Amino acid sequence: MALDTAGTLTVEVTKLRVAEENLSDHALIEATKQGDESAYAEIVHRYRNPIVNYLYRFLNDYEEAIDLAQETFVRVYFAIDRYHTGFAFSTYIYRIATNLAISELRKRKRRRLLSLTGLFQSDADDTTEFQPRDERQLQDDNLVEDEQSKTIARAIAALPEKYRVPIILRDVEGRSYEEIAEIMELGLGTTKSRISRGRGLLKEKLKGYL
Amino acid sequence: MNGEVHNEQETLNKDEQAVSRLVAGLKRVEAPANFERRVIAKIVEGRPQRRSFFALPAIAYTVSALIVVMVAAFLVFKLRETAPANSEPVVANAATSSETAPPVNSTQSPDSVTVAQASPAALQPPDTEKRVSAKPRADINSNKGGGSYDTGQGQTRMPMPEGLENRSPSSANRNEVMTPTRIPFSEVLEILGMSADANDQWRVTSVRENSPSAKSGVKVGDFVTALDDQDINAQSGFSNSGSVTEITVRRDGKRVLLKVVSH
Repeated sequence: MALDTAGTLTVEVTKLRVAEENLSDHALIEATKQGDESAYAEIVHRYRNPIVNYLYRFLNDYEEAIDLAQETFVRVYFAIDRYHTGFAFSTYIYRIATNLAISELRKRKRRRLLSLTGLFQSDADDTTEFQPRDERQLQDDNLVEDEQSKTIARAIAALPEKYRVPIILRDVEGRSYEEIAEIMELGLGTTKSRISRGRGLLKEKLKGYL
Repeated sequence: MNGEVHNEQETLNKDEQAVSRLVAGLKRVEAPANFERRVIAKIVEGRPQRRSFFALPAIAYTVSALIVVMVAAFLVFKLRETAPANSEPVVANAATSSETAPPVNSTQSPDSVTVAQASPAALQPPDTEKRVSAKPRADINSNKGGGSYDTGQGQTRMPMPEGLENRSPSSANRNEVMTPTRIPFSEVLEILGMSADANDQWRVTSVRENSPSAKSGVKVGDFVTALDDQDINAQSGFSNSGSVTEITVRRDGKRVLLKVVSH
């Protein structure tokens, strides 16, 4: 790509982006495997917001969500050769993000157990597990939520993992039951059951808003 | 994307629909503007290493597990050490019984007689020993279905279980394993530590020091008349396969009964 002026460069990049936007996920992955880094940049561009939003709702911590989302893309990149087109790329990346998020939660639990104060805290009720509220001011004003949204977010974050994942994928990310079942590596019936059960738990926590 | 949720045919009750709407109504957050750059930068840096702080708990768990394994292994070894100690008497008995054989199989050297003192039951002639040793071995094979080092050494008896005496077999065992073979008196007397002239009414010609005979009080010049209750002149050989407990001699015309001292 021999370019003479900055203006020409912009035009070429735009053309490239438009061309890649028309490619399917699988085509982009194949291009990435061939060494086309711009193809992977398009993948990141395509999935960054859904993954960040998903992780944010899962962890209720924006900075941690950003960090884990980046790590998700890095891991996908380095494991790109292991990905096969037998299932949707979105399923693949959500599964990785989910595993990282669950690892993060368990890490928090371990840290709490190892800390002196954590040793004396009650850990009996898993449904009200440790979920430190993110007190930091969100960087983007658009992320400022009203009290109701914060309550709902906290209620979701307080759900047990097995209900939280499908609820967020279903009601926040709008994924199909079949895809959620694939992401969680569960049967369809079990997935539906967990979503229903998760909604039941949320109903108890959000009675005031129903 | 959220709209897809409601496009699908779902049979949700009112509560579930309400909860679903509440959750779906949450504002979506977006990645920061420099997100892609940061991802590319991390990719350029190399494979993710951010989970390194897992190392501390992992090491702690590993060290704990290793300590538990080592303690367990130590206890197992300790238990194994104590187990053979409990079974030592069996081995010792086996050794004792194997030690009793040489005086019979050997040519009755002075040393072997000393061993025989400890176990008068070992007064067996070589030919008897062969027959006797064959039968228990057959019994062992038929009862136990296999051999062992001890039986392979040609012992006449099995090592007895702990708590059971195997120095002198019970009468039942004796009857089972012994044949009524007579042992020449001359051999018995030699094992007891004396030599006597059969042609001179079993006159004792010599007594070996520290032998059972010497300890029992046999003197040169005594005439041995009986071993236990068997008249040495009337019978062709000693038939008590187990032991000699009494020696009857005639000394200065008097009948003297001497108890055999084995040690």
